[in-house]
Amino acid sequence: MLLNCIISFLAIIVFAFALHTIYNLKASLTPLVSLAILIDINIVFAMFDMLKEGVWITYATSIFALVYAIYKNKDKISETINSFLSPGVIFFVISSLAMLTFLSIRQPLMSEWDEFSFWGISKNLMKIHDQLYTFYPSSMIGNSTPPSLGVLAYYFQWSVPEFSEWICFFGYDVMFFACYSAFTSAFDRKGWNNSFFVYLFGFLCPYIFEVYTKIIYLEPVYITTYADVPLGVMFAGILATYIFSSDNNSRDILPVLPIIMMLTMIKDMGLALSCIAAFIIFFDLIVGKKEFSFFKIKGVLGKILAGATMVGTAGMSFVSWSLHMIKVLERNPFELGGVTNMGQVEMLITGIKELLIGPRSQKFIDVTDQMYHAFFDFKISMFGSGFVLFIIITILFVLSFVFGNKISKKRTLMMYITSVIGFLGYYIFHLFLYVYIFRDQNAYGLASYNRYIYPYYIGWLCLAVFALCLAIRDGKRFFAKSTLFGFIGVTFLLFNFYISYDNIFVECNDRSFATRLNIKEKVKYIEDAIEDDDVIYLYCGGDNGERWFIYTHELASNIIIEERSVDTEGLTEEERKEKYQKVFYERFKQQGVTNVLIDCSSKEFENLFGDLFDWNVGNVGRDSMAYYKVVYEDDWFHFELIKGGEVLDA
Amino acid sequence: MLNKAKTITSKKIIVFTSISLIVLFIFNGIAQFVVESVSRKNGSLIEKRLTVDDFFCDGMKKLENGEWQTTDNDPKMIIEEKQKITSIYFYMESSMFPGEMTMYYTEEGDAGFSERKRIWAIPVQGEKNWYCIDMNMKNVTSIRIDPTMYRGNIIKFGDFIFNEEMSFIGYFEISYGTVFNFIVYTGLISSIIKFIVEILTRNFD
Repeated sequence: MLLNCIISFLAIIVFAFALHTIYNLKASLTPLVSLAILIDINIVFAMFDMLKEGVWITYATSIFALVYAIYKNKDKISETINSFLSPGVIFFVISSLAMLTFLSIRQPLMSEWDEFSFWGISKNLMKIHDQLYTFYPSSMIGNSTPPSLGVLAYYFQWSVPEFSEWICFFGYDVMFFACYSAFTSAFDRKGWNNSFFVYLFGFLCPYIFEVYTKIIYLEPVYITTYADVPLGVMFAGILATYIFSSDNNSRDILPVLPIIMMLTMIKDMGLALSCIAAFIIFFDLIVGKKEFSFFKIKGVLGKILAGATMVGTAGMSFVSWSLHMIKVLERNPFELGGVTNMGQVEMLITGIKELLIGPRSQKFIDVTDQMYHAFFDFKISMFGSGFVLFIIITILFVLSFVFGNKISKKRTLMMYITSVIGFLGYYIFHLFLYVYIFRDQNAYGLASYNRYIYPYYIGWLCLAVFALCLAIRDGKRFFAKSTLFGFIGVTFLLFNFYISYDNIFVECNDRSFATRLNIKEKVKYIEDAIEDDDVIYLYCGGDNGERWFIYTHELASNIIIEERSVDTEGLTEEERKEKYQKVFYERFKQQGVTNVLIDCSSKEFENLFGDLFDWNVGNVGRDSMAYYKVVYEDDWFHFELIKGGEVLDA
Repeated sequence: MLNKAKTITSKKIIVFTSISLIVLFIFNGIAQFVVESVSRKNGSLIEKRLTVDDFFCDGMKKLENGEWQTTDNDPKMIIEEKQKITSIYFYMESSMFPGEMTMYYTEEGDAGFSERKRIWAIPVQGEKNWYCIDMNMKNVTSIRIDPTMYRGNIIKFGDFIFNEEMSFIGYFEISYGTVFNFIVYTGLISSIIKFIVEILTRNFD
């Protein structure tokens, strides 16, 4: 298992070295650009149903690039290696190896809800089938999310015998560390203490937005497969890759493109963030790089072309995934679905119209009001609410402006303005999502507000720190440095205040994974009774849905049919039972259900279906498990026991 | 001083910081060992084993099979213990995820338990269902343990071991957290020292 991780990791480093040597890319930027290029290649092949072959091709690309790099620079190899080992790269390698050691020994599990409804189970499916999750039916309810993170996780475990959750975490962490390395690109080896502080800041970023109450149970930062931190950190990575490049030509823009592609393919919101990044970069070109020329085209036209290339890359990536879905899933992805079944473009047009011209529906007014207050009241970070963050970001930008030199003053001011506009756009876009797509119960109360909004804040806060880095590099060093050290020092102290005992990944223990381990034990018991083609109806009595989703992940090679409710309004007890059984019979027949799995029975379930089971379903308590075969006979069905009983405690 | 400062290279700073941290770690372990050994020798630190029945339990009821069930969201287990405590290890199996497990203590002159004198119980790495409350040689008058924060939790208790004697090596236990702190603090402190050197030599990089 380790071998796969190490080889894939080496491929990234080797290709990074090649980029530095052949293309002369700044050393600290290379891990991120290398990772993005290799994963992008893999994604493209995966969309053509060549996932595993894609990995081989990335290895080949790496090796070929290395050979070419060494051949081209035979005489200056030691010099190049020396310049390659910038602080960012060294921190990247140390963090990744340390994390690999920890994860491979401790092997933490996934523990968050949506990891079982999509983010983790999608990777499990990819490992089982060696194909993207769009190519076969599965228990997963949604499979329209693009595959960047899935491919990233697959890249590190394609040759491993079984799906490993900790390897998924490792893949994500390598990506984070590559981004943090990019953050440090303003400085070279002499300024290693600046690099360390910026890298530390990068490392703390996810914690800033995930831990803001003192809790004593695990906060799965760095051991989760959620996409929100990746969105934010990659968004910041794009900005860093551009801002710290100073060639004044297309070489400033080209390294950004693969990262844009990967970001867009993480989640739909990645497209929005990529476009905002392009917007910020475009205006920085206008004020900061007078001599900029894009492939020999100078002036405003060159800059417009640069901007168009970035937006075009994002757009093309997005469209290619949509085309893939149309072809493979035979479904139109331009419909966002949701409450009003609106398409994306339609939503934007309707939303803008309602916002600017009106008239506004009651829901629109209420949600707008809520979002306005949320900005001031919801605690979204260790520092406080969105408003507090905005103040901090403004102060950092002001200080960067004061301490910068002439050019960085202009750039800092423009970056601030464009990032504020970007935030407004991002925020309003989410307003539209809440109003038109989310169900009322989730819209009122702004479900998952923090998770949806903080990716932008991560990028925004990082941008403020990057402006400060520019001031350190080009302006009044002492003051800018003091600000940087001061701000990050305070952040670190705050981090120490909130982090205690077992809420950080190094202190994770089995108590955090109690439900997972319980279900794993039950699955181990019942595994040999389940066949590959079984289509299963699963019942978990007394569960709020969490256990059910975890089972779909543990039994990902089978299809577990979706739970749907039965309308029994106004019926008597006897009629209810009749209707339930009839509806279930029709559904089972239609979906080809072959088996029934009982995790834990309940009184209600026994009353409704008890007489269909040959072995009393009431026997299945918390510590038991039962697996039945569905027998279709004479236009009706009943369930025969295959295996059932008490699951022994280890 | 300026000339002396100029000779301090980055390498020297990093080596100095990392060695200092290691020395501090060893020194801390030795100091703790000495303090505890002396206390054990002169009788002020006693090892004791108690069971759940030695506690006064509120918000929990005992079931027929010896297990306990919490009847409200704030179960408390209180005991009067006038002694010095360095650690409490206890065994607890619960039917539900227990949430926060808190311990409150009172010292001489305290009217009652308060939020300011509160320590959380941490699961012991590698030993399932064992928890540790790290008290660092406090002289207490009474203890209150809140084993869970949920009602209806069915709990099976084992022993409560006060002041278990630790081997000499035990004072130098290196956990993942220790390694993590070492790496981060070496970098942090070295960076700050370098910054100070830069200020002194007026040579910022």
